[in-house]
Amino acid sequence: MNITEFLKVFEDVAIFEDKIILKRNLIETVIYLRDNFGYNVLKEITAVENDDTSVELNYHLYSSTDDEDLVLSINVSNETESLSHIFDSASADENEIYDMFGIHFIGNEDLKRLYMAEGWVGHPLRKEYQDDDERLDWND
Amino acid sequence: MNVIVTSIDYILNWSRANSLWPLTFATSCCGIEMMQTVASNNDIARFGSEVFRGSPRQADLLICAGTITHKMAPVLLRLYEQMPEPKYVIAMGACTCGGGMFAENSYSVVRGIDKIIPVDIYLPMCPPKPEALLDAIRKLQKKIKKESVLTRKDFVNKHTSNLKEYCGLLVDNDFNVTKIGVEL
Repeated sequence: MNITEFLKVFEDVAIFEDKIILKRNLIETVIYLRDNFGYNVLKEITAVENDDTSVELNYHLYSSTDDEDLVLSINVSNETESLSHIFDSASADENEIYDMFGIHFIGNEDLKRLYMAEGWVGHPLRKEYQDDDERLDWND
Repeated sequence: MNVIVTSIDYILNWSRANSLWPLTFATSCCGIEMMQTVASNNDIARFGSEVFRGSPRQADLLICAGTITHKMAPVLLRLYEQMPEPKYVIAMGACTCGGGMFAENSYSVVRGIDKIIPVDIYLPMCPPKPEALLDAIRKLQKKIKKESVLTRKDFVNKHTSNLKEYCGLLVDNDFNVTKIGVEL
């Protein structure tokens, strides 16, 4: 992938080792990478909570023509845009991140709890999560 | 009178103990050891328990092989309720006995299935070896052979009275506890 050509189109982008750190324009970047550089597979989405309670989302893209990997990283607070209308594989990962971190993906019509039971209170992988549901007192 | 009851007990217990049909219920890694127990090296068929059933209606024994989470707890209770009487439970592995390595600071794991259903034999270890599961089945057979028809009825009635307590406390509030198979 030609980095200089990419940087001409998208300003305000930092590159750290093999990771491209975005501040905005996630969907435009993904579509641009897919159309011009052949990154046509979304392998997975991972999430890490930062110290300031924002969440860092990492989108692992893959180019099947060039056999190359690329990581897009973006910091979000509580909501972000969904990629489910670009990659079908995004929906399940977004469900998991919503379940564990409480990030709302705008545009994902199938957003629901994936691992925790229906009606669960809170998002377990957040640092401020408290396991104090009264309905589960029988399990102490 | 005692002679008749004892004779009936002997025949019933003999037939129940030697044809324990387990339910296929493996929720995590203990299930691998359970499969190994069925395979030819350990051969659970020597003790009459080789017929693993896919349906709780045909099973006598619930070997709970693996961690039970809050999401799985209503399913476990429903499967237990759907099994016809007489039915027995082996809690296989440390997680089902008391939470195991998830006993501290886990948000999702039930600390022992005896909070949900009555347990006959506890089988700790993480996971138990196939020989240990065979030993648990032998111990359960010994326990069954000491049972009486009269005491069995008391045991079942005790469980039905506890059920009302459980059903409001599970995560799934809409879950309606079925009484089928419990009432004699």
